[in-house]
Amino acid sequence: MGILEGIGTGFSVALDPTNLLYVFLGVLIGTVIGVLPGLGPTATIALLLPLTYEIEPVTAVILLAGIYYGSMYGGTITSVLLQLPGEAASVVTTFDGYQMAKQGRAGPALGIAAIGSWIGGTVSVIGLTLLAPPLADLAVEFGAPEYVALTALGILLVTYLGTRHPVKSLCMAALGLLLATMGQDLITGTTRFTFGQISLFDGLDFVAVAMGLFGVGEILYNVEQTEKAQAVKSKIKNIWPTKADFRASGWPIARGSVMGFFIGVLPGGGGVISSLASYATEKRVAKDPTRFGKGAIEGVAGPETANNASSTSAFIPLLTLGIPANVVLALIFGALLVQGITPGPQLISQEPEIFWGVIASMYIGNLMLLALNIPLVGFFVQLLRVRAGILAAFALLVTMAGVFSVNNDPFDMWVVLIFGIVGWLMKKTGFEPGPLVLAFVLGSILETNFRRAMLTSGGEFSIFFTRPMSGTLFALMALVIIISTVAGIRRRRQRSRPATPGEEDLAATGTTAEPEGTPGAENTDGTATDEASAQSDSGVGRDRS
Amino acid sequence: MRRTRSTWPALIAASVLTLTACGGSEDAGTEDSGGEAAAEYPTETINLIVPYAAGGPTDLAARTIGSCIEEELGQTVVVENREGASGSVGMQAMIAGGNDGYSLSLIAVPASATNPLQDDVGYTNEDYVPIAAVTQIPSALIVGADSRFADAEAFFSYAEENPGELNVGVPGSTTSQAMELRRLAEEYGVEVTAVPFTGNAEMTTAILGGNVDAIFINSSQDVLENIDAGSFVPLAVSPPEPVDYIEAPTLAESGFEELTNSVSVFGLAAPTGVPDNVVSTLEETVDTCLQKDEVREQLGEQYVPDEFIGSDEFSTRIDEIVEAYGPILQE
Amino acid sequence: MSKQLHRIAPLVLLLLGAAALWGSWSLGVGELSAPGPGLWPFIVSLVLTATALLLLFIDEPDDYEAWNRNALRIAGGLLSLAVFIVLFEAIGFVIPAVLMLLFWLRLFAKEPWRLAVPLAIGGALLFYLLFEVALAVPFPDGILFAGTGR
Repeated sequence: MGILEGIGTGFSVALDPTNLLYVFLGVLIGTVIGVLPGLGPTATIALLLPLTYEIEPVTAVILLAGIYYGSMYGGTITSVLLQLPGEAASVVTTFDGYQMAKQGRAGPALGIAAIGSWIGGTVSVIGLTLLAPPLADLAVEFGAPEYVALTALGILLVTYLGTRHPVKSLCMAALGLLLATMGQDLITGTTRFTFGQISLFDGLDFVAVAMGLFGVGEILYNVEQTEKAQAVKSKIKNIWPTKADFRASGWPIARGSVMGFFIGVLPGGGGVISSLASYATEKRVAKDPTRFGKGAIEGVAGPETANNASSTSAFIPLLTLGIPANVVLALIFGALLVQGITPGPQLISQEPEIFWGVIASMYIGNLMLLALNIPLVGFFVQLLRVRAGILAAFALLVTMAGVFSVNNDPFDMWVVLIFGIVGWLMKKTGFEPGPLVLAFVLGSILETNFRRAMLTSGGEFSIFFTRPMSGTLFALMALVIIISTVAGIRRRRQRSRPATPGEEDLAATGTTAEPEGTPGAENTDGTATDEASAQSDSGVGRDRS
Repeated sequence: MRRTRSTWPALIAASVLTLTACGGSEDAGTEDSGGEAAAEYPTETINLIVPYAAGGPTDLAARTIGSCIEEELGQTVVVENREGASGSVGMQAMIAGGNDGYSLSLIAVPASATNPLQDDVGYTNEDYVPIAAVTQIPSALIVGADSRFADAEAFFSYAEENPGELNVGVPGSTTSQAMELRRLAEEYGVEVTAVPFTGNAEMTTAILGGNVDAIFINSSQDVLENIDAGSFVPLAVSPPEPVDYIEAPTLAESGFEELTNSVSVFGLAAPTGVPDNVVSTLEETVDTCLQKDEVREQLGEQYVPDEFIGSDEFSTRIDEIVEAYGPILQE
Repeated sequence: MSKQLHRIAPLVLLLLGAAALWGSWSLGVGELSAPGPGLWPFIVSLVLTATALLLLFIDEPDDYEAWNRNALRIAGGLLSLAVFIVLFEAIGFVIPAVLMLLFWLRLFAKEPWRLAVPLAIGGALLFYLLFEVALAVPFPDGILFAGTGR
């Protein structure tokens, strides 16, 4: 099937009234939860997962994808108005967006973010349309060594890029990989680390782990920090940006689209890293970098475009290789598996309606978001009046009921509780849940392919380096490790110097690379020890001397 | 941590059923309570548990036969997916549901029979009785269209001369396919490296990408389509007799007389102690159903056994599998 | 409190790593050409142990937050969740849900009774309808509402 024909099929699927309704529902839910701090797309999608078992697979993915990229729009609103990122990828928007709001330019900030997101999203879908089919053809050739290289790269990127403390992240990634080995070994059938529990036979349920670490963990942490979101007083007017705004934002949006697209394709890449990268780039190319952090519209337009572009292109490794690039996509992966569909190189030829239908729905969903966001910003802001405490209570109940419904098994509720405690403790001790969860997700893919590679090569490690594709990837990884180690050591030496917002080195922004879909509010808290600074610290430019 | 998988509903349902069946007995146990009571069957909703995920081949078989039973017997059949622990969770749920004939399960042989041999999975092969086979799917040894092996003979003689060099994808390490390859090495001295995958999609990709030399796979619908399209070339099939829809000799004809057990059979089963008349009613009903055109079409005409496999014959099959694979699994 | 307190986290991870090393070794690591079930967990545990050991020395105390009275409240909240799960298995969804909502709304949201009570009851019923009735999730049979499941 050619691309044009495919797109035709796709639109005929996506324009089906039911699917249209679900795209709309998806982007609406996505925006709402993006606005609400403390409830990110991961928790929401995990909750809605059991619901999707009842609907057609393509409709299910359309809904879940809509929630994902919808949340990228929604997260902007709180970042700009309250300096509270509604989800992790919007952290960067707080730097300049909030400053713009303080200068009475909240309207244009939100406007340009919505327009940029739309452009970024659309560019990315076009890229997805054009690139995915040839990539899938190529991916058929991928063997075990390539899969090992790709998944290892993903874990490495999440561990090294944008985290404050690579060693701690690596430690968590190792823990995630270890947890992924629980249950029946796929190769020999031996049960591992099950402690005689039948419930652990299939390992820990991913949904339960993710909901515990992100859902319950975040809720607990937020409750502990006591709520700080106040209702917005200021009126938002003049959403539509001025000509000067457009002129200033043109190139950042263009760069953001391209950058977001490519970072999103990388396993382990995604919204947070792409928006950080875009911010850093815009600052570097700007004529007057000092305006950044003081309300530069480029600092909103670029990153917002990039995070939306990356949330779309993140579907490429899933739909062509069967590798979920981040936690949200791992959930969508799970939704497809339950429906009896294994995403991978065969998807395009075997399930063209799903592949093209989802892509077409993204064109439509991005348009809907633009239409929703410009006029309805005021309405979404009202959502912030819901008190955090009430939200927490209900979110917990939904989490518990939702996780039960995944397998109808109370055991999973205990898993959620335990990982909720672990997640909360990790927050308190400066360990990041992101690398753990991504490693957990990719762990079994990594392990089985590692062992398949060992089996087929007769135990020769050279198999990883002699094949061109995996060889290149491993060389790339070595490079990442060397560069970040050198940079890390240098940084340790200069620790006393305070970092400024958008410091050219990503790792120095003090922003943690939460995986996609993290509710972002907690990022505004410092990890400083005393309560007062935890309340006021904006999460950027943190001086940790 | 509790290990009960929400047994409450099942227990309560079981006790309610038991109370009705035994006329008010206080005994809520699930052992030996169905016994002689069910003179008329069925009078209640039948629970048919699928120990695997919705949307799979077992699910299809269960839903098709379930709706036909519903039609024939005039009682609602509720199909429920209880996946987990390679099917053990569903088997446990079926057994916990009581042996009065209202808790049935779809079993997938050999997995349902080999799981308890390997690990403590909460049930044994004594805990259930097979009732009737619904579909049987043979395995096929398949190479890609551009393979250097034109037929089974070329493949096996190369394997014999170069032990362990050929990589053959199998659907999992404890599947019948993997077991047959081990017997191939142990009993016939033909050694290939079995590379376990999960599911047909992964194996299809692996053979199309040339990352394995061959795959030994359940010849389900997608595999037949690939054979028709010419991208798969079947070298051999696994049942004792040739199958008319795959053009390839059997393994037995290729010189491995013993290797005839790699056939997946999906069928109905009930907990041990289920009344005889329930078994015979269900046997008859399944037999009737399997003769209906629309049922055959839904299941895939070629997978419906040519001759009906009832309780006794199904049991014999399971015993054979246990005998053949038991020693390998318990190593 | 002691300045060494922040070393507890790496220490716990170190012990976990060591236990996992032992556990995976006893699963059997096999050989590279035929990896045993324990080989991969062993490699991973090595990384875990090594990084934890490193952290024991290089980790900065600044990363760690102080423990205060709020943390105690969280522990209470966690306990309430555990109680919820136990009750849920025993007496179904509705009553434990009302109790849990009430507890959280009073303790953490500090809502007055006149708001907390209707919210808790309304919320529990709403979710009951959503999950049990609309989505047909087989909750355990309750003493207030029978499960529609089995």
